Amino acid sequence: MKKNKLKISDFSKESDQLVHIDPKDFIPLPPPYDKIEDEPIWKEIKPEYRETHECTLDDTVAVGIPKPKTPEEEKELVDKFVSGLRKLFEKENNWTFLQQLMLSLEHCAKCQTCVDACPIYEASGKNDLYRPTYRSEIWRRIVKKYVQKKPFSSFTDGDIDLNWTTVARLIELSYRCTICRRCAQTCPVGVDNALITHELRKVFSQEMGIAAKEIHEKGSVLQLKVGSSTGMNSEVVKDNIDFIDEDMTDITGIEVKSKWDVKGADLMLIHNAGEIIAWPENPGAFAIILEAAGINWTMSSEAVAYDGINYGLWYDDVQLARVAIKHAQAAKKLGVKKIVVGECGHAHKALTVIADRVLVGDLNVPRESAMTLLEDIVFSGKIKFDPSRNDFPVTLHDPCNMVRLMGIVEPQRRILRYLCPQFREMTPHGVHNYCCGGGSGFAIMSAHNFTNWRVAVSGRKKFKQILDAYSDCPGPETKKYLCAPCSNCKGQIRDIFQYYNAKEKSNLIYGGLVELIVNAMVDVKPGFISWEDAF
Amino acid sequence: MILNIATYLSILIFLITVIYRFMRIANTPAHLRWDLYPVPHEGFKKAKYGGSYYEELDWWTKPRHVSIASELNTMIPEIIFLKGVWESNKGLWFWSWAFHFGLYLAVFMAALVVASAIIGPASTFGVVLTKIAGISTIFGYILGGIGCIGMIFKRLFNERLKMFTTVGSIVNLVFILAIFVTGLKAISEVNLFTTDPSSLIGQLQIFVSGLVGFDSSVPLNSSVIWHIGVTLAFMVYMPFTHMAHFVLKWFTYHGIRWNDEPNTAGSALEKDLTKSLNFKPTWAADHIKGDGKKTWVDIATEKGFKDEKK
Ligand code: SF4
Ligand code: SF4
Repeated sequence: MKKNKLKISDFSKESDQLVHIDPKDFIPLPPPYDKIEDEPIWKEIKPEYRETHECTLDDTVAVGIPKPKTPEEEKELVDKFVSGLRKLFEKENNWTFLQQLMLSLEHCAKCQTCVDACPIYEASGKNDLYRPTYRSEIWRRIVKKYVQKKPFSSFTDGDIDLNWTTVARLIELSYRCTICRRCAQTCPVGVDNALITHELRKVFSQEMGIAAKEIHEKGSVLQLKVGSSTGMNSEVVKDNIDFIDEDMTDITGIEVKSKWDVKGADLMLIHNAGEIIAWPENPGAFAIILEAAGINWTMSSEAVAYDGINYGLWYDDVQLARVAIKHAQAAKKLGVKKIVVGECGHAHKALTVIADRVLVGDLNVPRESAMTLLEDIVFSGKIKFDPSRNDFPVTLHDPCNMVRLMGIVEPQRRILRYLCPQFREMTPHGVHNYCCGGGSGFAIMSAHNFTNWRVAVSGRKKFKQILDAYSDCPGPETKKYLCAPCSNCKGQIRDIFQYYNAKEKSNLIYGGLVELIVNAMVDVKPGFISWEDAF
Repeated sequence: MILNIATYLSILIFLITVIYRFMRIANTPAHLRWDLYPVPHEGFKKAKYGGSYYEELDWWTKPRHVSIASELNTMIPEIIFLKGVWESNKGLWFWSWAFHFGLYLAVFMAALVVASAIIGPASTFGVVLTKIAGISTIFGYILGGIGCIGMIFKRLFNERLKMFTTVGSIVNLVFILAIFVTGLKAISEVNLFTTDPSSLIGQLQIFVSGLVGFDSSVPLNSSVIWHIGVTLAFMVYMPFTHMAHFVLKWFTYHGIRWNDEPNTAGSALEKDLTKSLNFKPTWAADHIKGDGKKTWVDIATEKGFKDEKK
């Protein structure tokens, strides 16, 4: 089936694959990434896997549900799906998002004003399957016809057939949107396609037990079981931080000692534990800054509380609440004055904004962003800086969860304007930024060829934007730094840069905000940020 | 007589349906936050770039400012000029704007007709209102009609829109077009720009006076009766469709996108949330096993974990 010929009714019709993705349709990248023939070849989904798993949506697979073996099994799954949809509209089951959902169900004017805002739709070459409204429209028609059983809904709201093909494809399609809410920002009525993605994922997870493995089984379930989605238990995490402290001491020449379980500390810092494994210089830099500023800080070694991730944010309200409560309980136990969330966008939003209405009573420990704390420290005069140490082109990626969805825009910019003489903005930026393409869990999802899709399609617009920000110095002779104060975004950006070989071709590296702060500290040995060691 | 009864009924159905839909949303439980920036009540400065109170260190210790002026600064251009559609969907903007603005003018005219009928069309102020109503009508109906026709064409033939066009979406537009067309037809048959009772505005004023005074003996031109009839039918139909967004948009913005109210200890919000946390879900997945007996609190705290680990 060809793009732009897609109809809503096609979605329910059995076929090998609903759409094919053709790199020739993708929006072009700037040189030297502009040759379509140089695009990395996509990994094939193995035929044996296709035989046994649902892969009929597009050229990739994110969830990969096993195919039902009998028509009875198919029917059972379809029925479960309908029962889950029904629960979405019951306050006992979905008080959390009922109001938002009812409004998004009933008030879309189908004007398509939102579609061009979507980086996935645009980057794919406007493949109809990725229109923000395509998924929503299918969901809306199913709800009207099969849940509300509205008379004449086929005429008034449009028709759809609900069968296993529809459900299987919807499961996959709910993982082709990063829930970045850029589309929602443009909707004149206030309808939210991202919310519909979110709620669909909830039906699959909360009713049918189906979710992307990386965010459920290896994500929130593992975190609640052993303490962290990285698999680290409390002892391992402390050992790793010890190693990081030693490394940091060697690299910076400053004695670094991270703090654990300090009762009554002024703040409890929560990192995304992925930083400890993948970007140890980030928690290291935090420790250097907090110590240098003389702050009474701590981390908690309590299970779950040493890992700020909360993947429930993207697919499951129960998992979200469980993790957030653990975070708050740890802070309450230590009697800290506040929780500060490190450089992780979704952890920011989950704990500060979304869980705000889960944490009642004494669990409502004040929570804030590391961005404001860092701004306060940088401009407090407690630490001496030499901005000339950061005299290379720097641009800033705005993590959707922290910026568009929380309104934390300026603190990180004020720091960069002060410490990075060649700071430049991307276009657009701030609350109108483009998602890195790794949002809603994509950054950690790599099964089969999903990395191809999330880099070449969902991350494409971001990569273009990054390259455009350095259009005055595109070549490898200029060292360039992309500041991405978010672990998930960094994971995605790492994969984009590796996929397109951006380090070699553009001498482009990425990292967090704290690394730039430490790099500019006069008391630190020069060269904290190193292009040679970066990957 | 029939027309008068139909009008009372239509107004009643319209009000009941709109209020019902409004209350249905208003009565949903306090929900999780889902704000989206810019949030204009953060004030002019922050609204300009989309900042929030989370940009302040120890934000919970600071007073919360809510700027109505800044909110209006966002809402007025959106309502009058459909700024969002202009910015993100230029191809549709003119038609959509003409359509909406035509409707605004028509509603404005209706309000003026009612006001002038009550104060007396022949009074000095009544004459002024009548003149404004006349101008508003002609502009509104022509603009709205053009907008409707443009939107129907767009919905039927535009690549971007037609995939989503349903019979219902065309019926909605045709219905509104019928109001404008019957209105224009009435104008062509009876005069508009005079305060004469035989003009459209004059006829409508007589009709409204009749409604207010429960007098159904007023003589109306047949084209005016048609115009009123179509409008009444639309009033009954509209609140059942997505077009009820004209009032429910209040929630999508104030209740959701701009709802950044923090949960504070002892607040009414906290009380509502505590109630919701005691709801008993029935989500069936193995990691939840909602049985309608355990509450959200049970499921989200240790008790729930233990059940899950079993
Ligand atoms: S979500 Fe909003 S912008 Fe998109 S089609 Fe619906 S009403 Fe229009
Ligand atoms: S939330 Fe983002 S990725 Fe999803 S449809 Fe909207 S713009 Fe596209």
